[in-house]
Amino acid sequence: MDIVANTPAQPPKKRVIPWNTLLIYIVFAVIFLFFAITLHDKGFLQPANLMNIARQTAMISIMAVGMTFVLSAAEIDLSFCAVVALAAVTVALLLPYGMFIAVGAALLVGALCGLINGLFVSRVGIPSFLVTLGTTGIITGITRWMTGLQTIPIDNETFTFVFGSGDFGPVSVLFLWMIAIALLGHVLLRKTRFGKEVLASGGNKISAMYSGIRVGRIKLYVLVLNAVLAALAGILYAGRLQSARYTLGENDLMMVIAAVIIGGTSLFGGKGTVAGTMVGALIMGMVNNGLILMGLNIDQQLIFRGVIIIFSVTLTMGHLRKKH
Amino acid sequence: MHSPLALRITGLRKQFDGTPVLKGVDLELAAGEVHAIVGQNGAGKSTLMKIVNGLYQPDDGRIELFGNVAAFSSPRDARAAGIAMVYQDLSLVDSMSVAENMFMANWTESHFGLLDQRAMHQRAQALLEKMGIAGEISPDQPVDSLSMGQQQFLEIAKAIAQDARILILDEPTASLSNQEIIRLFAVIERLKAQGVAIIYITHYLHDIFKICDSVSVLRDGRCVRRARTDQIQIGALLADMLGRHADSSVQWQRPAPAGDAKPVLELRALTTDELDGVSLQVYPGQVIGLAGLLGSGRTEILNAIFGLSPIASGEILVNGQPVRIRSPRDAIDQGINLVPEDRREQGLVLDFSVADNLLMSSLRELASPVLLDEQRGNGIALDLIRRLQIKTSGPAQLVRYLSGGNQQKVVIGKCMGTAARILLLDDPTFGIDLAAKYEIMRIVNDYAAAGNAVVFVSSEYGEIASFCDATYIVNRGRITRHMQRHEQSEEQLLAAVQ
Ligand SMILES: Nc1ncnc2c1ncn2[C@@H]1O[C@H](COP(=O)(O)OP(=O)(O)OP(=O)(O)O)[C@@H](O)[C@H]1O
Ligand SMILES: [Mg+2]
Repeated sequence: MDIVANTPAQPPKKRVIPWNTLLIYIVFAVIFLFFAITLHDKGFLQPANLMNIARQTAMISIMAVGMTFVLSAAEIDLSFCAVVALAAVTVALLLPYGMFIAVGAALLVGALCGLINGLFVSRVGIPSFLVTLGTTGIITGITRWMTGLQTIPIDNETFTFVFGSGDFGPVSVLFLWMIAIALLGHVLLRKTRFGKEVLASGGNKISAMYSGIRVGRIKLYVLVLNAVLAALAGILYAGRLQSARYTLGENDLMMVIAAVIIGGTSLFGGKGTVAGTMVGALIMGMVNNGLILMGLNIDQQLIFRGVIIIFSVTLTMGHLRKKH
Repeated sequence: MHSPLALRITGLRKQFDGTPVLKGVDLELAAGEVHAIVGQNGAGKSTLMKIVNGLYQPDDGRIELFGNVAAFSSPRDARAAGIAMVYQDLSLVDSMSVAENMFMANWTESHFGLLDQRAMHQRAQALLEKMGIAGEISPDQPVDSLSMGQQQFLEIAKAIAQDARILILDEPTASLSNQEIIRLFAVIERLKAQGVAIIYITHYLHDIFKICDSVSVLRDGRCVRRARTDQIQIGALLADMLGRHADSSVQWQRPAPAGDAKPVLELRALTTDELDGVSLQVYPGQVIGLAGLLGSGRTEILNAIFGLSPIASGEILVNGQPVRIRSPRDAIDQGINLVPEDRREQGLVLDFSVADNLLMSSLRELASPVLLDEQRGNGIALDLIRRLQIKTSGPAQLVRYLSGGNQQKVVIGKCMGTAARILLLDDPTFGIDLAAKYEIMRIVNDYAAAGNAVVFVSSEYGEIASFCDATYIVNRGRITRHMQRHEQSEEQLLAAVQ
């Protein structure tokens, strides 16, 4: 054996600009400026309209926070939209028995859906894509059956105030919910063991397992977390619309996943930030709002939204393609 | 030399994110020459070859192929010009067959644009025969049924499938058994006789003198020496690699375990699908070697201890107490950690930073009680980077961008960073340069000397002989011999494992 003495460690090198993380903010700024200029006379920049955007974005971003964890763990959940409706309907049906019972039950129902998804993924080993595709149908079916396809009105004013319709001065309560969930999500993903284990499980599940991480459990937890946040979004929808219907959330799938991907979370796991997701969700909310202000009809909105999603994803994912 | 130059590189420069890696490299290679490139981990060997192969573009400098200036924008271009490279980390598609992998770059198609399976099968068979490995690999076999060594051969077959005139091998022997290495050398000789120029990157300096005609030493982004192998000594090569004089020969000193000490780790008649009644003891302060041929069950023993394969019968005792270990988590909770065989698949999350990888096994200790103690984590990471001399731009750099050897050091650091009292090392110095290898052995030595236990698997019998307190010989899932320190020498181990 040959022997050699110590060499000193390398000195730290100078910082480079993280273009890839900045890009999303640039995309955000471009779209914002575009609407601010073209929709200037339509009041896009009015504080009331900006709060409107925040209000419309709240549910999307709360669901997107959950989806950030799911995608970071290299899983997918298609069933959360169905959970939104089920939770909304549950809370509306149970409100006569008390607000806490109703909200608690709705969150619990969400957790149960996530648990079922999670157990099939982690214990039986079925890909989450298939499991959640299946549970989507089951959950939607149950919701439709529970309501007989009727809209359920809500007249509990405390509930509607706290969960969606209330305002503190100019600030919507929805905005506060959104900020709270975003902060919690950010801390959970960045600053806790759970967050690191989620990213590690998604980045390389074999290495994660060799490092003592219980990958199966992590996958179960993220699916439960996502379903609970979807249930919360459902409760907020019910509170804002002061009613619940089995169709709630059915158009959110594309927007939630797009928000997360535009925000820089990898579809293949291992990479994700809640901050990016929030910007992604704001972009989606802003686009929705702008397209409505422009006076486009639903068909046109759908088309434009699709175009903008592809455009944003292309821009923000460009750096990934080069490196691999 | 009178033959025309196959490759001439002058003044080649390359930087990544502002950090220069190559600072003006010159290199010459004649047709039919086998040329070694050596240098420390992170010296830039792989980067240089990836430029020659068109994977990276140089910032400056000139590459000439057979007298013509060449500029490749992709490995495909390089292929067309007759360059083929076998990467340090294999790049096969596991789920496809041997033949399909061989012709991935140029499928054989019939008239209707359909793949001509028969023709591909025949060409693959011919190629395997030409390399002398047709007996053990068949063209229709799926790649995931091949051993690491066989996959390495397949990579070479894939490279020469398109009549390469220049073949680049980046650390080809790292995962090969002794027999396979001998066969690899035979293949290299054969290709050389056919006029193929070969670049051979390795950390096994002795091998260079066996099969290379000449050698270049890369240090700090420059080529600091070019010599014929019959005109240079290994000591001089090492000094060139390091930029200073290297001392040699060392005695590993560890205090003998006290007479009444109990084993830290004991296996009693451990039996799994692949093991048959394995018993062994490791005392505090000991490094125990497991020697055996590839596939003999060495790795399987470590896997069983680490909770990776179900135990049919027998027991594992830690500090004299029987323990149940059903997953790596259980093992880590018992104070056992493993440096696995395959760093990229089993050891690392490539898109994680160096620090996140280093701390991946110790998250539980860092949670205080909910939030991670980032400051402490960062301190531990910096300390490991310094102790293991990991060449990185900082703890935040992605592990994907470290050189192969430095990635391996991160895996070792991850396991050293935990509170483990028992360390299982599966070929831990794989792909690591001599200086760093010594450093790592020293760290393991100190770790054991502090009263911990180490089980050490290596394919280098010399390393086992000089480093371990005792060695168990493994053959077909059984322990066939237990050798004490004074009986183990490289030659005896070699004879015993057969
Ligand atoms: N794509 C990249 N981006 C950033 N840095 C890189 C990249 N590729 C290599 N490097 C850096 O360049 C240096 C040289 O790496 P290279 O892989 O060429 O080393 P090497 O000589 O092959 O080492 P080893 O013996 O460990 O394989 C390393 O410090 C590495 O971190
Ligand atoms: Mg290398």
